[in-house]
Amino acid sequence: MILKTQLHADAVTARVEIKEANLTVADTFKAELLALIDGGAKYVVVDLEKVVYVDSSFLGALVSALKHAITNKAEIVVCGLNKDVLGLFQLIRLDKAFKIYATAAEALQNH
Amino acid sequence: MQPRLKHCKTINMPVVETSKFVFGNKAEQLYPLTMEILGHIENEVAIDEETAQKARMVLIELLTNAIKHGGAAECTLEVIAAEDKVIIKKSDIGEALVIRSEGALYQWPLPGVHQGGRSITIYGDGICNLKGSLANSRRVRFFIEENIKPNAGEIRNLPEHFGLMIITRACQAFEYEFDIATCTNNFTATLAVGLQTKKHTV
Repeated sequence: MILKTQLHADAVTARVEIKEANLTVADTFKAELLALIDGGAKYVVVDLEKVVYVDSSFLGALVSALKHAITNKAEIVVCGLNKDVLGLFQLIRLDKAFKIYATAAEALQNH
Repeated sequence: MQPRLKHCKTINMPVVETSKFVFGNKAEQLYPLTMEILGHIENEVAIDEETAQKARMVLIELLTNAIKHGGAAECTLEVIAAEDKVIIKKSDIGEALVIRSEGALYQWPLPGVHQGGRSITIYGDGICNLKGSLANSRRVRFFIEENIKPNAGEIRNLPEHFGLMIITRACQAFEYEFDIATCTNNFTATLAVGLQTKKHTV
């Protein structure tokens, strides 16, 4: 398990419990996110506060999960991005695909 | 008219050295080596934070690519840190580049001698495409084609492979060359330094 989840009414916060969000954890990350969606979660907040960097494999898993969420009328948002991770989202324009919040609390408020 | 050799003495060319790093294609070495190489670059030339950030992205993706697609035990990174640019060249003797796109399979070196001048689409989301400009059957330069179809971007069309896209967007120039003589794969990423850093619209 790399996600630590917490239920908030109909929302779920999923904190990524690793520093290096790279190809070694991308498949597990995707499987855990899909399980949350398949379990009925309609609003998933992926908290990247502990993450130092993300690579393309991890981002690919996140986008794949987002597509699955949309198919299931659910939403995935992200929070806790450090400067490098936010820069990467902006560089490849994933900031247009994901709502980005500073903290999980802020993401829940905007649900 | 070509300058005579003796005139070279009057040209004050700075000496820029190439530094080599070996990556054992192990995930646990990925971040430590990224930071080691970045430290080396920052020691050689005063790059700004934006350039450092892009250099980190490029290094992480080059090393990730080596683990995922290299098929070799190790790869070599040659780093040149000059005043106006940083060049990072990743070389290995693993599997050559393969791109599947639009129903076609591109495997380097590409067949035939008439590849030069063609462009291929590698992937895209309807708003922008990652493309490859073929110099010849061995060398391809990656570039981004923006605003293909405004408003056509949809989540379901998003690509799920971002490695080459990240490096291409972070760099001033990014290319791959298959060296036939040595059967070596060479990815060369060139980052502009400081105020000349390429700005991207997001």
